[in-house]
Amino acid sequence: MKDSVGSVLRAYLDAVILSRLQNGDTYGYAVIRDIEQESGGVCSLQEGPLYIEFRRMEKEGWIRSYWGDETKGARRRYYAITEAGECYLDERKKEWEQMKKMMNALLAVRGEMEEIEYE
Amino acid sequence: MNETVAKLVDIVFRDTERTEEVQILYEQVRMDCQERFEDLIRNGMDEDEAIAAVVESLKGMEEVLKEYPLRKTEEVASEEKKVAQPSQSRIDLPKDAIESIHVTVYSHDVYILRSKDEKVHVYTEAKEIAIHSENHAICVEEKKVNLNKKEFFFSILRMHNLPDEPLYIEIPEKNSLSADISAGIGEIFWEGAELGSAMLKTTSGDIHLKGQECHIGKMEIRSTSGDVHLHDDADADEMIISTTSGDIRGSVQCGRMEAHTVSGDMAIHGKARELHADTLSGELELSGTYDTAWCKSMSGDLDIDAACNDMLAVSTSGDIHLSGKNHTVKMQSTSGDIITTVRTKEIQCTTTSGDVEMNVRESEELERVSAETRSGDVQVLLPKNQSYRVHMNTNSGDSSARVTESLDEDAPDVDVRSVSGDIRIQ
Repeated sequence: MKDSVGSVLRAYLDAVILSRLQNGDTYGYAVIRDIEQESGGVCSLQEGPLYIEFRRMEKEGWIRSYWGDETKGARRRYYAITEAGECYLDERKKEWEQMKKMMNALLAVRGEMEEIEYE
Repeated sequence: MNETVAKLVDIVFRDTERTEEVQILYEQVRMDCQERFEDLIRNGMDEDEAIAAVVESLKGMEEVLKEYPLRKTEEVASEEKKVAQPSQSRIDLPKDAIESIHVTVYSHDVYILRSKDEKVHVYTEAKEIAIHSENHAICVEEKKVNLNKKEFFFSILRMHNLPDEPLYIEIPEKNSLSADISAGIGEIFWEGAELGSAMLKTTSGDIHLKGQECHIGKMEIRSTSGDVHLHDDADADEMIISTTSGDIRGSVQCGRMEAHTVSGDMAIHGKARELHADTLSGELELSGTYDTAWCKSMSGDLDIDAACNDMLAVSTSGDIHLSGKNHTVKMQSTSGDIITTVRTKEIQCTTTSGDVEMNVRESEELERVSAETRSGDVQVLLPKNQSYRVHMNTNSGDSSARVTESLDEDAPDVDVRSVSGDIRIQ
């Protein structure tokens, strides 16, 4: 994973996790696998950072966790998004939209200037 | 569930107090790692690569766990004690039923202890170690593990500073058993067990010998880079220790002792009838009491402060420092200096270019002093108020003798010769 991609993912990891949970309750490794698959294998996540984030988000009240009722095999801990989590995710998504616009604008200016220089 | 994966997670969580929150986290991580492992295998990875990936994914867990309190050391200790108790694999046999013990493990520490009953007990929690007996022998072998997996496994063990589960061997007193123990990178701890003969080998693991009033017939110790520690006057009829770069340190009492290193240092305090210590480039520090002591070095210095009947110290370029009470002393060096302050009866020093400083002033029964060198300077300090038969000869050096000379046949001989070195006797 490139450093820039990694740092963007780290900065928006809470939002990424919350959006996974919007699709339905899920557990630790499933989140890791989803992120990896949906990023086309670009983003990989270790257990450590994931559980640091889970712990913080639970303290903030954005998620809650509960034991699943597996009929066979060991039990799993599931995470679910709360209302407060939904609100926070909306904020983060808006922030990202603004960020995207800003970055597009910044890169466009730079791109145009480079084109001018090369001409 | 894959056992290696489960063990890895156990190790990661081992030092953290198992509060309810930590227990929940532990169960989650265990399941995650297991699923990750199974996914990777399903996607075509072999088991070693998958284990490596699991180890990699666990590396950030330290950050998570440092937020939680550490487990109390007694808890960890009691758990270790539990590990020490027999369970997984063990054998218990009366001492008369066996003649020898053979152990080959690669990474596990081995403890050789004194049995509390008349039986030999061999046991471990390590699943990869197999123990069986055949033809009056107990054999212990570690099943072959793929090196790749071992390396990754060790890397996480080292990360958490934890050894593998040890192997324990308990041996009753008074027996004529022989033991051949090889522990690779694991350490060997010999604590108060008696044996007829023993061979202890490691590559990089240290070897610790604690005597504690027990007796061993013949003990042979070999290590490549592991150090050998001799505690509590480890006691043997014969002890032979050799290392390549490992140091040999501590106190020992035995009939005959040999200590050999290539570059390892030696610091030995001994009580022995006969001692041979030699090193190529290591330093040798020797103290204690010996009947005969032979110390040799190529480039390392010899630093000896011992009581000895016969002392021979030989070096090529290392310096020799000798003090103590030595009945007869013989020292030879090529370019190293010889500096000695001894009480002796007979002393002989030979060098090519090394200087000789010989102080025998406190000797009460001095009979003969001799020194021979090509280009080194020689200084001899003799007991005062006595006369000597002095023979002094140098080709081009200066010479002076400020002692009373005598022709009496009973007077001690002082014989000093050089080619170009200066000679001073006083």
